[in-house]
Amino acid sequence: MTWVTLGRGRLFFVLLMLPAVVYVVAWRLAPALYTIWLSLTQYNIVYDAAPHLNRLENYRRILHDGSLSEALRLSVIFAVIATAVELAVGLGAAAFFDSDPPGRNLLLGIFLLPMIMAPVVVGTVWSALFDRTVGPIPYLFDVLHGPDVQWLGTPVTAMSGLIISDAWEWAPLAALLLFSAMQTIPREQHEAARADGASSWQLFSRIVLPQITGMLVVAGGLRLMDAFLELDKVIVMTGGGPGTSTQLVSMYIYKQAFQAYELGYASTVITVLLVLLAVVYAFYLRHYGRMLRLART
Amino acid sequence: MSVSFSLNARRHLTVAVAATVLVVMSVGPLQVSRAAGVTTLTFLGPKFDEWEAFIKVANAMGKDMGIEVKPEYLPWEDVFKKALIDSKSGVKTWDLVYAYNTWVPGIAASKIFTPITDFLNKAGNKSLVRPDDFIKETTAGLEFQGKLWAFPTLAAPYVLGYRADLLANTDEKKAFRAKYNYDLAVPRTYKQLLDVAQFFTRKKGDSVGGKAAEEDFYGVCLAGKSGGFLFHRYEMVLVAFGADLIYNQATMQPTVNSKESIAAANYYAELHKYQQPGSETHSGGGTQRVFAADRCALTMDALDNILSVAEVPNLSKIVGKVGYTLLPTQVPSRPHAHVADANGPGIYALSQHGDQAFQLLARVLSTEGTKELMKEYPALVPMRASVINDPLIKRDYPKMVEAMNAVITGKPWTIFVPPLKEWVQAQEIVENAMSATLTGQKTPQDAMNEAQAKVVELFKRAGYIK
Amino acid sequence: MSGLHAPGREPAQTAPERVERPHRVEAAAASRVGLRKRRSWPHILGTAAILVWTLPAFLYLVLLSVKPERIMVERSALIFWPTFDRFRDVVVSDLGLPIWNSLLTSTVGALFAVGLASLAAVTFSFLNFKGKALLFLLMLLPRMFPPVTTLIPIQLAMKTLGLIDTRAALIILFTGFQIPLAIWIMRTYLDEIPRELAESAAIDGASLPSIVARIVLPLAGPGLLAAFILAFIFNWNEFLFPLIVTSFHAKTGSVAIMNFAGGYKKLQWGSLAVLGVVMTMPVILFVLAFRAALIRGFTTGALKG
Repeated sequence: MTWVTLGRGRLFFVLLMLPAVVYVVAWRLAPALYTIWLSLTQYNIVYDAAPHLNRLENYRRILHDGSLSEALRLSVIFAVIATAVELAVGLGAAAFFDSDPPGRNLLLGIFLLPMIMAPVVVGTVWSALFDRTVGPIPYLFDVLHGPDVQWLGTPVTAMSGLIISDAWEWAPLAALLLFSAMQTIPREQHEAARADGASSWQLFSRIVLPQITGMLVVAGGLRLMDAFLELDKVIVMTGGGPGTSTQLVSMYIYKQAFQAYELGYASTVITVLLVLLAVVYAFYLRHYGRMLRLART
Repeated sequence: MSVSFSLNARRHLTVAVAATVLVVMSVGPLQVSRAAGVTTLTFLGPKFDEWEAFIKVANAMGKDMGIEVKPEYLPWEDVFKKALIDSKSGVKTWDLVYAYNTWVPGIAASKIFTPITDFLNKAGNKSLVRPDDFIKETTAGLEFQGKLWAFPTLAAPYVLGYRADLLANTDEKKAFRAKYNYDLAVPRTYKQLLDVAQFFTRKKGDSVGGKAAEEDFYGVCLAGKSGGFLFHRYEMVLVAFGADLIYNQATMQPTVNSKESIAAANYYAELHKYQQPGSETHSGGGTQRVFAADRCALTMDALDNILSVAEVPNLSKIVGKVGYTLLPTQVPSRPHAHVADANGPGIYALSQHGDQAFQLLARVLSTEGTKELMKEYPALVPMRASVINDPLIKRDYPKMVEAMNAVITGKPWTIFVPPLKEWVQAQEIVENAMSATLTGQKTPQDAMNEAQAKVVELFKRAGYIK
Repeated sequence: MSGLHAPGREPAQTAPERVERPHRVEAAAASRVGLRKRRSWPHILGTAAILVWTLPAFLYLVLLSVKPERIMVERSALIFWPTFDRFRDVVVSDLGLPIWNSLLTSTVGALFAVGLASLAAVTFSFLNFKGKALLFLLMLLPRMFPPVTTLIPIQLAMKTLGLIDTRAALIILFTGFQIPLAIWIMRTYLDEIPRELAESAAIDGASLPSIVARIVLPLAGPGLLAAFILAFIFNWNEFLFPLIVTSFHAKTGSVAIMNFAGGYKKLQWGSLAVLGVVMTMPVILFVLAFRAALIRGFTTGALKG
């Protein structure tokens, strides 16, 4: 069961793939290799003329780096909760859009707004909204005699603030992807379920949800990956504070590289991170395939 | 099938043509018009009013020197990063680059700039610049290893801004006397600062200076954002209380939890109760906007930071109501102690027009040039004595001159951040500890003990101590 | 003989679905009237929820952009005479060039990325070969790579190529940045294409290039659009590399906008908000103008998990 003769076909397919592969290798993977090399060196870009090898010194240091493990922990918390919120909101919104409301396309366009705004603008808007001296959200709480929430001022609320802003920015992406998956479900299945007397909830949980599991995995994976490396909003909204309670791992790397100028050590952190992520990601891709198959049967 | 193919083909053709046009447009040659005989100098700096003023004056004064200046503004914290990476990569784009005093040791180590001193040593240049005219208290931060690395432009001594109208209000005076048993006045000590801050912390609707406050009113407005703002305010208190800035420069021993440091941390945590809420997300500029909105009695900040907001009618409700004085004193041996800032442009080491750039700086930052700059940016705090002493300047910029005279005659105990390679990391450790204290996660004592251990570890790794 | 087949699924499963699709559209259209009557109140609630979720923060940005400086920090001042001075300043300032640069480089970078990526995705989707999973992982890896440490080698490369401060430099980088994402999206779409279509064309004697060009890629058209839009948005918002590789001529809007966010001096919420609105506008117009195509792109069924 094949539609080409393989001999010429393989060459053609390899040629198709080659430009992109060469491109990514030259412009993305080669610099990454440079990073891996740097990770074996002592290199302060301000004070050292050139990187000099210090063997595995940096890796030894990383084992005892409490700030890094803390940053990793915070990034995992942030990424997992933010992704969960985004998927939940996105799922709700997608189900709504899937029900063909009047003005759907326009509404969807509006809903996508936050996603297309520059991250720094999103960060600024939310830090202004949360500001306890001048911001509308604390003002609203005040007017309604609600509690005096310290928003970006305490560890838990600051993390929540970041998650809220991230959910606002990226729930639309989840909604878009999930909506597209829902649209591929044959409408007859809805009708049939309705005819059998299924409630809306049953329809959603028995018919719709199983068929979009694959896209949930894709959307979740995409968001987890990006949220794990979130940087812009942290810089603008909290600066990593209060204390180090919102210093996510990207912020930590950024500080090592561009405040301490310890490029060698920053590279080590990135290399370790890359290995961790590659493992997680390979695992994800494997299960992604399996989940897709499961979802289809 | 074939119909859809031809439709698709047409669409593809359109896309391909559009893409080609876009590509040609995007990489097409750039028209650079340049008048003959004019040298274009480039300037890399932050988009602040004073540097936009600098560009304006430089272009006006450079005209008859055959020089025009083209600015490239970047976010403040990215200026150094950009200059550093360009310098490391051999990119020769820049002539003049803005510098901040804490960057100077790094600039010297990485040789991004040619020191101003090298130009001053050339024949005739000293008399042109008159370096003796620079106010010594303000220029030390731009010097390193006996050389001047940036051309002194804008000083930033830290001062206490206070609501003169409120401190002079008779009802307030009476109430203060009754509560604290001494007369309400401009705070001269940190104890008085705390009392005044506490006294003026009011709720919405309470009377402030005889008028009902439209919003809550705060004792003192201080920037508290992580990333340097918090530490920069805290270090004023730190040095005033007799503590070292993080470490003893002679022995290289960290002193984060010394007796003086703990006292300062406790004081700062106490003062924080009378600060504007949300200060942990406020930068210097944001804080001054709150002060200018008539919502605080006191503020401690760089002089030009306050002047550039509180005295600008477009931004401020309290124009003319603010008094400026030196920071309070805690330890008598360190009167009005503060950690100062200084700003100025330096000459990029790879510049193709170093001498012209120097000549232009000498011209624009001369006495006359500085006065022109002040017309464009009235909050400029000059670093030349001849400008401060100019009768017209005294007449036109009374607030600034009042404050600068206090700086010159009051002889505040002034230090600049030490030239330590690991300074940023050390500062961040202490700032995080302070931040954890202010949010109530830790007591000042515990937080500073932990910070001390971290700084010791940092210094050990750097090989300063064993 | 196992060299070519749809990964992870049997072609036989695909065909019925494809056939069903036209029915589905009709069925949806037929049931739409009934649905609207039956469930109008959930629609109203849902519409309200969507608007309440999105609009307040966005309107606050717009509000900040026209709020006079003097009352900028007064939170209770919600009704005021708007000022358009800052918009005027933006129009007369030289922000036109950065925004134009952004528009151009983001578009071309996204086009190149999607072009290269979709060709590669065809291979990833249709060809089975040893180490495919590993290569795919390697292609996607750059996406989870904090790029700060690559600034210096990239800048050195640009210097060597004489591309400092050119739009070409940005296009080169943007293309590289978006290829991984585009490959991922395109492969997801291509995996959905029924293999029978291609096979029957092959039996009819069509050559491989013409099968790819005439059958595979046109069928993935919606996917191309989706990948392009996402690539464009990510390029449009890219900050760190444009900051480093450009200065006067090729500066992007995202860098220009940061001038107002960074720094320790004045609070420039007003100016930042203006730029936020200005930077968002082209994309809003873009999305609104192409929303039908865009939504079709996401929904015509190819991007199905």
